[in-house]
Amino acid sequence: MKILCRKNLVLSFLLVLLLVSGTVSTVFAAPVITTSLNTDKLPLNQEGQLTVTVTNKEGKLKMPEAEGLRLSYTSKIVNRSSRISNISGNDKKSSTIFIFRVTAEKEGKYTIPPIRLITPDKNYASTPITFEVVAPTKAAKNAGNMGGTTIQLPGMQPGQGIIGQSVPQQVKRGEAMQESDIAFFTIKAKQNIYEGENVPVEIKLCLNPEVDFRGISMPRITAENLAIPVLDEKEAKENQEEINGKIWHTLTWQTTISGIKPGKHQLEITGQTTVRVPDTSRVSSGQQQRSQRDIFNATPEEILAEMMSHRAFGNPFADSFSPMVRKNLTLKKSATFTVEALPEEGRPADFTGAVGSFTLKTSVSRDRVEAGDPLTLSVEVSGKGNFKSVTMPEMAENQSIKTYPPTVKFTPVGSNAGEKIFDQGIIIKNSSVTELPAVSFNYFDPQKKTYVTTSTLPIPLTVTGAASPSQPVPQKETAGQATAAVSADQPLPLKVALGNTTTDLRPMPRRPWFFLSCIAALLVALAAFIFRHIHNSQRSARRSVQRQLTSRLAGDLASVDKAQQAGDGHLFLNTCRVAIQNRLAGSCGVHASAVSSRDLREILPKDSVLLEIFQMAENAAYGGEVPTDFEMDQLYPMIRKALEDIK
Amino acid sequence: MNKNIVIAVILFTSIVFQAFLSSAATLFEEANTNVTAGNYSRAIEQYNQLREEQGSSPALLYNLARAFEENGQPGLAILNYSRAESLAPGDAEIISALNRIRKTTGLFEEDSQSWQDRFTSLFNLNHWSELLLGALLCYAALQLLLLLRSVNKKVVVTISTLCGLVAAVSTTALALQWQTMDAMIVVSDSAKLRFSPITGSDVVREIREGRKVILLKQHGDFCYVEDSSGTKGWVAKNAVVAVDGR
Repeated sequence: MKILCRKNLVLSFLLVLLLVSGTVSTVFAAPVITTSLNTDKLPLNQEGQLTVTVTNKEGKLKMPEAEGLRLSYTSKIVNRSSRISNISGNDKKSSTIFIFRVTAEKEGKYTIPPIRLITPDKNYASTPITFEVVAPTKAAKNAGNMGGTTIQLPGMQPGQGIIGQSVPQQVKRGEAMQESDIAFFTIKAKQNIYEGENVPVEIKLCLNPEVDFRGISMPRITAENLAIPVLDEKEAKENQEEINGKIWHTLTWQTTISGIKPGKHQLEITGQTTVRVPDTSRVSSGQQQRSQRDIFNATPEEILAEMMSHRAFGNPFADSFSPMVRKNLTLKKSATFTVEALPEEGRPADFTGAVGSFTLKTSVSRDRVEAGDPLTLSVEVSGKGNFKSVTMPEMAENQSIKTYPPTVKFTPVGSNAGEKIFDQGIIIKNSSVTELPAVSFNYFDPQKKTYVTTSTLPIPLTVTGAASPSQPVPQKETAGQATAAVSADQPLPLKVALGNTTTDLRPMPRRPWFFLSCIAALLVALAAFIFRHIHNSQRSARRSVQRQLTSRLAGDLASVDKAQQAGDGHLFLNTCRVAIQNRLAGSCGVHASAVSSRDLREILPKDSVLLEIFQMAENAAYGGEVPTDFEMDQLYPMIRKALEDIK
Repeated sequence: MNKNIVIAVILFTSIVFQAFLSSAATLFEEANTNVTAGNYSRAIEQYNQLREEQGSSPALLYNLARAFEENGQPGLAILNYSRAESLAPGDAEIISALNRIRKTTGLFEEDSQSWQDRFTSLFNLNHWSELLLGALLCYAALQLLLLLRSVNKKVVVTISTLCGLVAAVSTTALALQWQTMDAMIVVSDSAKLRFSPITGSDVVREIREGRKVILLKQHGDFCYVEDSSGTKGWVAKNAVVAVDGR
């Protein structure tokens, strides 16, 4: 029972607590209309942003008038994203944000009077805002160049805006965000330039890697009285860069700009991009339904505000799970260039408009020529500047030198530097010329702010021959060719005889017969060489065999001689048989030991002493007679001669 | 009987051939007269007619070049002088005429500075070819002679070495000059070297009429060429003509 009473007591206490908290929340509810200014010290000629937030009410705003101040409406953001659950049920909380630009006419302290919200049942008023307009600072001026519009979101303290930042800060939840947090351009260049001066310009398009970009157009440059090449997609260098602690995907173009006309000229870069953002028209059913036209005509501020509203109002997954739509975003960036006219003072008479820093170098194709022969003067102008205005440097006039229009070759090095080479044909008319005159070139140096004349030294020449153009000039002899004394400038008479004709103008190596002749000659030489090589090899082998036979014969004869000296008839006959077999084995085509008397009869004459001795040896082996010492003395020279005579 | 027929055919053929040659000579003389009279267009027509009927000779090409030169067409004049020079490399008049027109139009050929250039310019392409062929034939003859009879070994070694040296040198020279066989002459007064083989593409530079270029490759109506300064680009096919008449 006690336990039951305690439980009831606890429940009653909780019920009372909930009721009290509900009452307190109603009593201390957030005001219906709140205002905030993004800064309490606004530089003159700079815009402030006044944010008016109307919570849970719909009505008409009545803007007050403040002396010296101008409040201009910029945009409206309707948001309905958070729900508050309490004991009495679900309650939707909606808010409407009105953005106003605030500008002041002069410095001083200002107060924005209360802004009234007129609703059908009740009127509400905000608290007044006091702020100070101060003298324009350098930072404020720079901020103006960014051209961004700050959006103050609920939960943000006045003064947290990022106007005045040259590059965007990392945006945190609940902080202000501007179009430059999605993408922005930067232009890096010297802004005070001389007329005709080429200055390098770095144009950078920074893209937020967290934003879903669905298309980026090539930046379009609009400039009056400024010359800048059209940006090329291929020339863009992609990179990831850290800017103020945040990683940005960047596209950088390195190009040049030059002023055409003195004065202040603006360069404007515009670009279109399409981003993918949550479809707010579907997220909140109570919100105003946006037509398709509205979506695509949304201003950057609206897109950003809508994107941020999902993060700021407690729907962090809206980006991932909400229906997405594509929206177009226009990026703009401008810079002002002050173009100064080139000074009249000290301007050389032959100045062609070259502005920059250049060096001059000359060379000739040869320093020893015959009068009337051509040579080439190469003039190289290298450095940085407007090479379009660099023309062939002037050579001091000389009646004995004839010049021809030069050929020009320009090799760019980077966007603003290069090397321009002029090849000028020159004819030295007579041998009195000892040097090519100096070449001079004028340009305006913007660093030194003065005209500079650079000259080369004269080039010494050795001109041989006293021929003048009107006199016959001996022609340069081409190797392997006949030389004739012919006039240099006067046409020779026509040929009177037609001569042998050919329909083939091709040079000899291109003609088939030449190719075939070369191949045939090579094949013949190769075949003859191979044939001769084989023939020599065979002869060499035969000689080798002959040498072996001769050597063996000498050994065999020595054995026969030894047997004869010993007076051994059996041995004599046996060694004679072996000598005969060794000597004639090759002729019989069998092994030496297999040579028989039958084989010998086939190759030897019937009356051959070798055949007779061989027969005697065979008979002696079967018990026949053996020769006496006298007979051996008679037989030995005969057998020796017979064996040596065999070829 | 047969013998008479053969003689008759030979006689007839020789008469026809003589008549043909005589008409060619007459046309050539007429064309020359037209050049002298200042009737260059007519002379050019006649020379071209002769080229179609008879083929080209150094004299014909030289006179045709003269007619073009007088007619204010330096590109075609240089082309035909170059062709005449290739047929008669030693002809001083042709060389002189070529030098003169280049000089008057400001088209100078760069002097050879590198040892390779100086070496290859000792002879022209045909001369180097003749040397190579001569060396090969000489070596083949020596090998055949050695099959038939024995020759002193020193003589064989000397001749073989000489043949080998000449063949190696001339082959090297031909290899170094090989590209010049693809020489073309710019015959248009508004020729342009372009970055791509497309009519509207960016121009690398203009190239003067009469300038010699080397053909590297072809694509559609464009040739990829390199000029004497080493600049490469695409030029319209109808703006250049090959020296070897391809």
